[in-house]
Amino acid sequence: MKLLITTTLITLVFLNGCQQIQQDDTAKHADMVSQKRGSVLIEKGIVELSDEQDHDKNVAGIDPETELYVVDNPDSIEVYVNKQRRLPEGYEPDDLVEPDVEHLSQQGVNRRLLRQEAAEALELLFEQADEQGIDLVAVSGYRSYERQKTIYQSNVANKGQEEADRFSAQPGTSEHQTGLAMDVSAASVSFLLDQAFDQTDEGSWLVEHAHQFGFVIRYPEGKTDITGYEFEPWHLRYLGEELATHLYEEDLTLEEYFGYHY
Amino acid sequence: MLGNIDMIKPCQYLTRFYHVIFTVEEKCVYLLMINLCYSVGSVIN
Repeated sequence: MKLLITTTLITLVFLNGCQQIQQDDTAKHADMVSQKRGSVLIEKGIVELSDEQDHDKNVAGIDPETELYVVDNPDSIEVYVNKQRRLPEGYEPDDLVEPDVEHLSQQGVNRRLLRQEAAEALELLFEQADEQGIDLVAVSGYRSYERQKTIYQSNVANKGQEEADRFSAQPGTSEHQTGLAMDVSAASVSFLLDQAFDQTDEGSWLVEHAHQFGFVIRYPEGKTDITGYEFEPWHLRYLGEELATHLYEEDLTLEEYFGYHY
Repeated sequence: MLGNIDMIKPCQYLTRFYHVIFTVEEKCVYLLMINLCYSVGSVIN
């Protein structure tokens, strides 16, 4: 009897998580909108580059503490961050929403969020996949700077910095902070973020079709030396249909497309 | 693979039944249960 009651209570809690009205999101969104991003674009203490250095590279300057380049276009759909390029301190997208797709987490948590345009594209991608018998599940989208810092520090503590840097981004350099990246998985790999995802029907489908919805596999196989990250067949990055299709057709990473690593 | 393999085996077993669930609401509850299971083993971060 106790087991039945406990099970029922747990189920009710979960149901609440699934059916939660989106008013929490609305409040969160309003909060985010109220934080004007303009105030974080120009950071105190960053070293400005000469016109020649930052020309066409969308760099505002160098953070003297981390020696990372600070991008000047964090709100651009084509914003380019990697191990050498980070977002401005305190950056938060102001148009985060929850895409209406199957997700491993309950409603109302940050990891369900994406920027509006990317969210709409992801909904279309999931819809098309579903029509073709491909059952995708979203796992991890937006991460705040603080959340990424916690994850990175945990990975460094558990695996050491060198190993952690192969798969985990330093805070400020994660694509998840842009609100334009979503990790996806499937039941066939137990919803894990595993390279075996590439061998599944779902992973293969994404390789062939993601660009049609504006997404790319950001860290492809065989390009670790270029991207700095191991193969992540689960990591989708939204770039818009035109650029995503170009990268897909030319087999390019963002690093190769821009032609510079910073 | 992320996480401790011994910790995630039970969660992986749970995922085998995902395909026999049909309604959106049931899928949602099921995914949350799996997520909770993985959270215990700190697999998904």
